[in-house]
Amino acid sequence: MSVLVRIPTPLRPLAGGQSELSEEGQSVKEILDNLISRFPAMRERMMDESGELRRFINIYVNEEDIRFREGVSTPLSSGDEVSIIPAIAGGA
Amino acid sequence: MTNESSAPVFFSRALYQSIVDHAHSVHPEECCGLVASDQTGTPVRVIPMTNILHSPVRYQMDPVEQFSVGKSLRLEGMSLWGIYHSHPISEPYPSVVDINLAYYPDVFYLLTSPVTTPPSLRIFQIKDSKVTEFPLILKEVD
Repeated sequence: MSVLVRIPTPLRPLAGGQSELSEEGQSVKEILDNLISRFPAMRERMMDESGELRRFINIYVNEEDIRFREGVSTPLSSGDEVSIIPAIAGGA
Repeated sequence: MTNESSAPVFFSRALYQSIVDHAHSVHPEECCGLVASDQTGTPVRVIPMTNILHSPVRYQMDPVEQFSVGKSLRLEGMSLWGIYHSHPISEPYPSVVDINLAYYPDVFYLLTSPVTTPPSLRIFQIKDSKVTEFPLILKEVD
């Protein structure tokens, strides 16, 4: 089953310059695993040392933050859009 | 450090004023927001965002707003040009926290501080933890 994955600008150089691509998977985790398998350099930017999604990486399925669903276990349907969005944060 | 060889960045005074006004309106909390560019790459819109931390020393953009604005810009054919925030009690230069959390190496980071008169606005890029400042030239007319 194929879903559309939107790649944010800062990660595009690690994904062959693509802004969106088609990926196979039944859940967000499968999508991320397949994405990292294709583009291994994305692992460090998206995952922490324990393999968990970095706190400052937000992932949306269609309009919904996966943290308000089932996290990376969130199931996907054909035609879903998965958006990867690095948080914008900082401070003095 | 300022890189004097960096090309100057032109920015409209109206956009500058929008950022300064936003910083003033939420002071002493840090403000944050986005600057969008049109299809020519010219910065044309300031989009104030909510700092969900409501802190004088930290900011994090509301992720729901961030997602929604990003989608709107994409549909309008606009691009993310810059990210701004304020340092209410310190100079407008990227902090260690700013540098560590700078996930967008190709956009400009604008920092303002309301403690100076007139309020200052400085512009940077942050790539691989390296800060490069650009001379900022305010234009009277868009």
